[in-house]
Amino acid sequence: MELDDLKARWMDFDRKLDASLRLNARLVRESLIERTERTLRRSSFVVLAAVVINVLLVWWLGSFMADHAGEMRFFIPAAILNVGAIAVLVLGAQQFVRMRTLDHGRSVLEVQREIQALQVQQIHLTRWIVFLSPLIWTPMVIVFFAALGVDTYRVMPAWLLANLLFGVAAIPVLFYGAQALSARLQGTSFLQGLVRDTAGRGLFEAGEFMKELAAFENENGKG
Amino acid sequence: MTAPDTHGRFLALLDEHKGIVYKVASVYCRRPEDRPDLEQEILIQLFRSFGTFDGRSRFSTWMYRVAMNVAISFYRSDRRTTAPLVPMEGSGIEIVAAAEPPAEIRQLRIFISQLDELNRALILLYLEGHSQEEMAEVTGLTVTNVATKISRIKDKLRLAFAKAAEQENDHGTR
Repeated sequence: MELDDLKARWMDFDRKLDASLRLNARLVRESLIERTERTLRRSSFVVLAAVVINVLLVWWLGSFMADHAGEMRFFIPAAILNVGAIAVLVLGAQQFVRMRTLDHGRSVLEVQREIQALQVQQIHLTRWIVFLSPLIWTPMVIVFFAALGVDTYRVMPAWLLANLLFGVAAIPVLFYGAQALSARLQGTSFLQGLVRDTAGRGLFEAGEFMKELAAFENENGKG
Repeated sequence: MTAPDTHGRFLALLDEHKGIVYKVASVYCRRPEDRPDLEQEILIQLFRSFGTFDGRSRFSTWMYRVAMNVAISFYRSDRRTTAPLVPMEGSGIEIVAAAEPPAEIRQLRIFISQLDELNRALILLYLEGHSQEEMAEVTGLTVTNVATKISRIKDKLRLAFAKAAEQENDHGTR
């Protein structure tokens, strides 16, 4: 059977199919358009709220650093937190803007390549946040109590040291735990996605698809 | 242009080319019951991107690009188990008189479902009667590359059909 013969039959069936399709304009107008606009407004508000909270946090940490410029034991933990907060704010906002402004009307190769690049960036950000989160806890406690006038270095030095050591020990546990779990989890929930990204499986899959795209674009490539 | 004007124009163009949404969704869904979800995703993205349509290409070409980009992402992320962005009773595209495709078209659909997501885009455009230039415009490939790939897909399909016919003969003689 030749594809050219089938093409004529496909187009013939297509005409019948086109004639049997109806667009429910009321449903599209009321449900799709209005609800999509509402959902977008709501999600924009959530993102804006997150940005405002993060900006306030960066501002508060900045003024804390200024107040404790001469006390390195407070200044350094605040600076670590501030660098992290600024990085999350900038990268998160950049991701959001790139995703929202992604023009799906460009060619398949262009858009798919950009989506993969965004996914890779998102996975890297997620991995950094997950792996560094056990270490963030200690400077957070130091800064929070210092703002209340409590010097945790003096009041609970053993507790601080234990938390710091626990944070360091938690990183390889998180890494290997994610590797072991990701092999078992096949679903698409948020948690399953997080585990897969933490383990690096998402990065591998994105890389494989990038290779597929390159091979597809290459005239001598397979397919 | 005011919002009601834009909505009206969008709906009119969508009505004219609704078949594109239906066909792309049919080709990219692993299970037929997922089709309304994918149709809905495509419609949402078409509506969100409508402001960027500048009229430099034909509306149908732009629509194929958006639909295929959404479908490939949907297919790859296999989002069928997650809740849709805007839960609703249906996608808005309905079949009023379902027609059963002939056997060879059903067979062809099975073969298409065995192709990767990028080649599926090409074969669908080919079967819909698009020129190689239009196929290149939608996919981002060069015209020469489109011709090479279509020729390879034809060879693959010829073999697949021959194999299926052979199996059918074996089955019949047994």
